Amino acid sequence: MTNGFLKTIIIVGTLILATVILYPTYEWYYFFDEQKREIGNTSQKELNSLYEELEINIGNIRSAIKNTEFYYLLESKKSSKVILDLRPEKRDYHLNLDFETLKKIVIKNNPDYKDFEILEKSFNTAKDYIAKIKEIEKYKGVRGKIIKLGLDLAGGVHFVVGVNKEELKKIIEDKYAPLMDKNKIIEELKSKGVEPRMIEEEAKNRIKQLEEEKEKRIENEEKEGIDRALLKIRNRIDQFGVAETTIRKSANNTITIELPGLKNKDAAKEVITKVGRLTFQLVNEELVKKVPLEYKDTKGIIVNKEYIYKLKTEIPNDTVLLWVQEQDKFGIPRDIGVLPVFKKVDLDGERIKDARVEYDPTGLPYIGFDLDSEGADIFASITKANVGNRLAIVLDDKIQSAPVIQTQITGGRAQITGSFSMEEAKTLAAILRAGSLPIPIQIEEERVVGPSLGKDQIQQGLNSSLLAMILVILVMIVYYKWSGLNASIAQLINIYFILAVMAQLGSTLTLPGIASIVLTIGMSVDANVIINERIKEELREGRGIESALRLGYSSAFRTIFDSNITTMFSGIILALVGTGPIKGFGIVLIIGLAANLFTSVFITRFIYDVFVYKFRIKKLSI
Amino acid sequence: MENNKFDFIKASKVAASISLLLIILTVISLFVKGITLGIDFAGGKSIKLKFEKDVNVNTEVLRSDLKEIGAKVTNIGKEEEKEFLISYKDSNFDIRAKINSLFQEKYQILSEDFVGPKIGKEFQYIAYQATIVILLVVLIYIGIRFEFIFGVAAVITLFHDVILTIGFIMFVGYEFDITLLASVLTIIGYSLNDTIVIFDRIREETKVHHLSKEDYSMVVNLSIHKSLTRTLLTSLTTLVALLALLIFAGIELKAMAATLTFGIIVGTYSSNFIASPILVAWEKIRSKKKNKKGK
Repeated sequence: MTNGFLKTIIIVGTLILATVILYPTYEWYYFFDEQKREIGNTSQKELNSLYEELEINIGNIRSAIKNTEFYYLLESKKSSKVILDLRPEKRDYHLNLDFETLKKIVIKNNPDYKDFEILEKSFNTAKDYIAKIKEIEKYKGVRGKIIKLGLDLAGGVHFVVGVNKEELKKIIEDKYAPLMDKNKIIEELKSKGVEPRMIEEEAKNRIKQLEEEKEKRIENEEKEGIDRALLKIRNRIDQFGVAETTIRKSANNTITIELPGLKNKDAAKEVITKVGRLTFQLVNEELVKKVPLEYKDTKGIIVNKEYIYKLKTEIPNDTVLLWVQEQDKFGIPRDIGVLPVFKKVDLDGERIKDARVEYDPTGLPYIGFDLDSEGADIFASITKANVGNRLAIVLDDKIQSAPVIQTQITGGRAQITGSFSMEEAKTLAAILRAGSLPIPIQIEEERVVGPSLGKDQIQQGLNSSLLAMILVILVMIVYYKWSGLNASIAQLINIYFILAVMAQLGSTLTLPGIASIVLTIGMSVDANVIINERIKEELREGRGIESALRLGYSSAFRTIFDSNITTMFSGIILALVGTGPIKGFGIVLIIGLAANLFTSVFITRFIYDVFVYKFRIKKLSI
Repeated sequence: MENNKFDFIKASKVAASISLLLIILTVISLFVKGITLGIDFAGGKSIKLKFEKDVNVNTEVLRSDLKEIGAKVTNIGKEEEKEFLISYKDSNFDIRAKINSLFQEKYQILSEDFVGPKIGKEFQYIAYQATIVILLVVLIYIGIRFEFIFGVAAVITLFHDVILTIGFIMFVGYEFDITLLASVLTIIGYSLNDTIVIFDRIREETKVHHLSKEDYSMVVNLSIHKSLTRTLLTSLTTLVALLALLIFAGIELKAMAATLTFGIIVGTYSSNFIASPILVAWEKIRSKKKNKKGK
């Protein structure tokens, strides 16, 4: 047997690897009870609020100990067992000691401390939360590595939304209509002292210009609007407490939203289609000044988590803490810290006429925006009274930017300068425009699968695949005897590999995916039929087992390769051009056929080789 | 040549005429009647309901109750289970309110779908695009691996299979939706596989026999015969697997299983009776041209 050892290692190695990859899936679906799965399905939002509670209690313990050197303690100098770890830079806290020991530590470091009752309560709560969070993280970790079931199998809500073009057009036209009033324009021109005989001509030009501007705006907003909608939906979807939401931009300016396990689709629909609100609110600078410097970043944003949680409980009534948000390079919003802003809305975003990126003489981008006349007046009075303070630009309760008011701004033309990157400037301009123009969203596609239907479909899928498998194996064994069994083993390994690759890629199993697996089983049967027929042919011509196997495999391989590759091409095309179910079908097909080349050619040959060279069989059962 | 009892090439003339007739019929009825598109492609709404056991409801009752929106009602699952699929085009219609008023709230919603007209068009576009690109890639790949004419023959065969399958869907009266699109794509995969296996055999036999052009039809026939056991066995196993799907699957997957069954049979038939004879026909034309030039 040529390279027998190497082949054994390859086959055993891939089988072990597949088993390791599939273990979490197996654990999740077979070992875990409903309760554990529920814990694994905890949403990030719930987890965050647990962390928040934990922070407050840990904060209490820290302030009791006072001495930062005692935030991190080992059992003894030699041991590496951590008994206490409250270091703020880490989220992974440890409280592996009893309360009496903690009490001693506190008394030693902070003799003035009195509130031991509160400390004990914080200690116990913190301990509980650490255990709880640990459990959630553990099960969430398992969940991250399993083959997920698609919405059609697991139940849930799927939306595709797009910009409502007709409504958008109407909104923009309404916005431009008053500007294009001919009488007004003529009056304005008169007051500017334009020669009377030129006025008619000038007014016509002005209207034409506005008309062009309007058309261009409609065209632009259709494209850009979807990005703003995406940002808005990402920000809002959190509130459903769904563990694994997918929100992505899809073909033709649409957004695909998937909420597995969600039952109340109407609430989701409302949140998705609700128009976002942009406001300008003043930052409570007095409060910011009180915050110690080390808790703030260079821009004066409060970033220390522990401090934020404390601040939340002692904030004045007229103020609210809002997160400052930054878009990372993938356009995913990220909370960087908080700022206290006054609850009073100073200016509504609808007062913005337009916003755009402009460049100063050195080529650096800044954002310029215009306000309508009423907005201009309000803005002038706010800026006059608050020079030196920051004015937060708030979209859906998240601060997008908080520029400092440099001087009073009159006339309704304002600029936001700063060290922006081109992308940042574009995003901020888009957000300002969003305020001026709420994007009307409409649902293009909606699919709701109830959990009971999902369960039925899983059962049907499993039953029919299982029965198909058994019948196919029966036919193979009846027709090819031991060689049929060999082929059947290869088929089972093939399915095993498909599942392992899917788990590794984090893909979801859907109904079309199951159909694709059935197609792969068919291709795998076919490969082995071709091989066995060739071997039989060679045997009929009077060759020995060894040369019959060699010749049979080499001539069959060419056929199998060509047919699998061609079919794989169609899989690739489906994965590339298709969306949703078609794409899933294509991806599973590619995986399945690649695995098929390995299992039905390489592994069956290996098994034959073992019997021919190791056990020296004289006759092939085929 | 050994005992080739059946001459596929001769028989292909009859087969090709029948196929051609069926294709023409399908194309005509596609233009006249058109295929019924499911809501995936046409847009619209559908809802799957399960009524409680004591509710007096059946397909006819629902159909007449929902006449105003021209709803299509099908009983899914068993008769006594009272599970219905209702689909309709008017997406502004509040079906839940209507059903509530008729049957109080003695039902459960299993699933609900809404596809807007834009997405429906999009899906249609994807379906066309995918099919055309796949056919092109097949043409190029087979053209490179074999000969150009093999690619052409494979593509014609695929066209044949797709059109006949669509004809079948129309004839049975299924609504063409994403699931059936997946079936058609699967059929393309199977048929392609079948065709390539035989082409490969032809390629091999041609090399072995070094035949003069007149004998090409014999080589092709021999190749078909040599692959015949494989062809029949593979189709048989696949059909057996589909049987499992037919037994266990719900009504929607039944449409898929039936379409696949038809497609597998057509695919097997076409790779033997259509694809290979095209090669022979082409060879004849080519040798005639050569002879003319020679004269």
